[in-house]
Amino acid sequence: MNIIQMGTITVISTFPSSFLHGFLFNLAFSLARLSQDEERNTVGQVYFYEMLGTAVGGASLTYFFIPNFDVYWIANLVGFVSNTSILLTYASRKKSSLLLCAFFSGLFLFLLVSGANKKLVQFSLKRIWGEKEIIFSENSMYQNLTVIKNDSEYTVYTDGLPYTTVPNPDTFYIEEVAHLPLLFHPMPKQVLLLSVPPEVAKEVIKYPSIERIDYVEMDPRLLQIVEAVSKKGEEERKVKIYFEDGRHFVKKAKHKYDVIILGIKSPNTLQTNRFFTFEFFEDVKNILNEGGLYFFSLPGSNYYTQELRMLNTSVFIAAKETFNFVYVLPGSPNFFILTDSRVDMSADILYEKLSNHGVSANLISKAHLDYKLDNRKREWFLMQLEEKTERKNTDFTPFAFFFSIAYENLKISPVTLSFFRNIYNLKIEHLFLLVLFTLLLLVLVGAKKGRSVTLTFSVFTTGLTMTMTEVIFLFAYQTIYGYVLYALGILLSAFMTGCAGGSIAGARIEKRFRSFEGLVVFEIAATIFLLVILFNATIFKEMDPQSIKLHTLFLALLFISGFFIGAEFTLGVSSYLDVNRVDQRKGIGVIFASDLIGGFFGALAGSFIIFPILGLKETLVIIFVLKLSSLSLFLLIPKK
Amino acid sequence: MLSRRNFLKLALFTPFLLAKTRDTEKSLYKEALYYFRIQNKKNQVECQLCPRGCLLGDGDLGFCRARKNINGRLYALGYGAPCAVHVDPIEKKPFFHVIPQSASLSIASAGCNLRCKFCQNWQISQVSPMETVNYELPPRKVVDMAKKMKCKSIAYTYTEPTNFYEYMLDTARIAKKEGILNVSHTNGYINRKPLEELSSLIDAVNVDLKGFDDAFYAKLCEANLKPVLDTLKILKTKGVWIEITNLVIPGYNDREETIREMCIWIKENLGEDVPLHFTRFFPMYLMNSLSPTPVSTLEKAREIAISVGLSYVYLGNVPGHLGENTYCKRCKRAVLKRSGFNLLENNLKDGRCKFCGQEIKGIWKA
Repeated sequence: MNIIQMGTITVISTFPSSFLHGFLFNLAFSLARLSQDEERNTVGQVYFYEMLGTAVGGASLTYFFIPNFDVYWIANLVGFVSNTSILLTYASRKKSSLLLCAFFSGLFLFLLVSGANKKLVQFSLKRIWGEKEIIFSENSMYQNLTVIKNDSEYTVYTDGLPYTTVPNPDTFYIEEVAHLPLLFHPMPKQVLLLSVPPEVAKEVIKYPSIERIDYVEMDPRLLQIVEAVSKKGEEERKVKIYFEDGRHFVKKAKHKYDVIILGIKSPNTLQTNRFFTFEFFEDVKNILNEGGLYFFSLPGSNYYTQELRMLNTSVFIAAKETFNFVYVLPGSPNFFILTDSRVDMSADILYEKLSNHGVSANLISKAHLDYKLDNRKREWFLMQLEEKTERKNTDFTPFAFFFSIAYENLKISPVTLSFFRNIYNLKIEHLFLLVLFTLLLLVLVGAKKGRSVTLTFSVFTTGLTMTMTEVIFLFAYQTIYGYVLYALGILLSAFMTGCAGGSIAGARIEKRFRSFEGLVVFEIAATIFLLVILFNATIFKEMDPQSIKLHTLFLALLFISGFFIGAEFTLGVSSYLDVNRVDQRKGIGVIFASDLIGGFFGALAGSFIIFPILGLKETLVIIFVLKLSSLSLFLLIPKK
Repeated sequence: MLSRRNFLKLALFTPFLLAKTRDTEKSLYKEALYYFRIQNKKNQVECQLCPRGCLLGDGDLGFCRARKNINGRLYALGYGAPCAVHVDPIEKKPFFHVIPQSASLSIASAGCNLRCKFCQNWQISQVSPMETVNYELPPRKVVDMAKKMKCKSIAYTYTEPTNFYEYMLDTARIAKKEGILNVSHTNGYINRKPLEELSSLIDAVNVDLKGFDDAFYAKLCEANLKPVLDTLKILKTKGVWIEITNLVIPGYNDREETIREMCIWIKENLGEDVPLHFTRFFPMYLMNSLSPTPVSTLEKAREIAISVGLSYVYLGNVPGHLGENTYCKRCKRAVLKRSGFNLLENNLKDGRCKFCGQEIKGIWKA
């Protein structure tokens, strides 16, 4: 699926509910106003309940409903509850509408109790996988896992892509990944395998010199499923398996290793990018014995597109800064060997080692080693690397992640090529100019229209900047913990609770002080908050990931980000009405739209363009500058 | 002081000193050999190189993206400007009956006249030579490089060689004089006349027979089967050594009846000694969510081919499988033992089985 298709599906699937959400907000406000004496507080209250509902909904969906029920059952439940609540609330109103609600309520109840959801699940699986024989499909904490039977073979899929096939895997990949690193080491004894297919472990076990194999896989279900469809050999029991994130394992490992092999093939998510960064290479170096090596693969080809070139270069630069020697065996994929000791690249010597170990392999032969180690090919690869770049892949400047996505898109959506290639060259100076230009424009418009411009822009930038910080915190969370989907419910709930809390605080301030002054105070506070984040950007790296402090910090930061949005929305509406003397619903509409449009652009630009290209530090700088610009408008545009 | 790149070029990568990056679009052009101008239509031409017969107005690119109409003349792009230049074992092409374990200088310019959803060189096959970074490597230099790098053959491969037909033809002409074999891996989508001209220079061709029904070609490659079969017959008539590759994609071209039909056609039209490679599919390009071909499916295909009477049937992408070996059709012993692209044992003597003296068809000497 390409980016255009992803965007279209996202819009189609979320637009109806988002549209109704916005529609209901205004409707709820009108209804609530009927039973309230003081109109202005009604906005804050409706906003509060909206955010509270979103927070509770997000958390309960993630932690209760999704683990226990399928999506169709949940959707039916939502349909049933919505229709029944209308029936109960407006029992005395128009009968024809109520009859319709009663019909739908009954229909959803029937679907809930009749078990029709199971048939829908089967139908949906059939639509996704076609005529293939589905042996198994479930969502683990990390990914969707599906097993397809094809003749006498089983292919295990993770998130719709083949992970491994048993009993006949891709021998080229399995044997090269298992044997090459072991042959490069003089005498491997301690081996660490990170997220490799189990077949790699089977090859590694063949080496009699190996005393210890630690096998780390993040998703226990994945390994259980592969084992369930494989015949388990007795010798595999020698392998010690750890179900945890490989990155954490390396960070706190007490053992040292001769060879560390990574089975992740591409940094195409922030989760996987963490194994190809400068920071991880440093951690790996700390647990390697003298002469030890780290072996991993990256996408390669006969021809290097700009994306593939940059992807490999950003990782190569990070590796070069950490290890004395970085060897690359080009192919599809490329194999990287990172070590502090010189490695003998002679096929003769490697083949002799293979013989001395008494290991037999299907693919690895003298001729194959000659081919893989060909000096001309290795030098050719070095010539493909980008010379004029300092784009080092790090945890918080995930260039390899960005270029992996760009490379994948080149394949499935060449029409987006020019877009990607244009944003490669995005620099913070460009964004500074954009902010400056916008500011000048607003000052000119504000000279005519007065402070409503300032108010709208401040709510817009708060939505924009706080959503960008939210996205950054989510990225940072994924980078540190290796997963975000599972925690998304609680993280987003913290953000939404912040919004709800902010709206209450805004309403209180509005009661005691003037809304406009209150808004200025929150603008100043938001700017200071962003400045504090900017100067403490490295705090995430420095704290222990397992500590409760870091978890709390993430939740607190998300809460604060949401808090500013909620407070500024409530105060923004009041101030807008003070300044413009327009109909209240119009005022709410303008400010609500500014908030949401800001949030939309914040999420899109932050996740898709600015963070992956500029990295954490520069993104935080631009966020701060944006907020500073809206604050400065309060000074630049006088009251009319 | 030398930069790292220049040092590498000078000290370690001497053969590729010949190759420099092209920096002007214009230098990629050479007038095409097979096209005609359309009467009464200003500057419109029809390309006659492949069965697509693209009608091109001024400035248009062909379907292959490698031919362009400039002011009523058709130009071949990418002439003397390959984007990929590598030295591979000839088994990688795959050729199993052409000088085993010899090095082959493999070149390609960008573009392709098919749109296979499972293409493994999509980075260069689905773009124009104007979009790739190319080496400056005219025909004479290709041959010099092949000699310098001790390559027994020059392979026109990776993308569809028909796209860089003029470049291939000129290179092949020089190579033939110098005693270097010309081999190509093609989709077989080419017209009779250009193919006949090429056949006088080319020694061996591996044709991708991607499936054996039009529906498959239409759905996955945007092409037809018949022109490919015609190509195979012409090559046979012209005495060019043919090997056939059939990538078996589960659920698309793995029906046993279709495979049988294909094998019968090969035997009847090309003879029993044409090597047939059944290759295992792995998720690739736009078909990256498909399971790999079960090895049992490939084994069944091989059984069918042998039962039909084909002598040399191989399995590809299954290293270590016995189906990679060449067996003598008389004594049934392994004459050439392989794993992957690598030759493990050679029991061939002067083109004959060392055990029983049976002739094994192929090109065994340069």
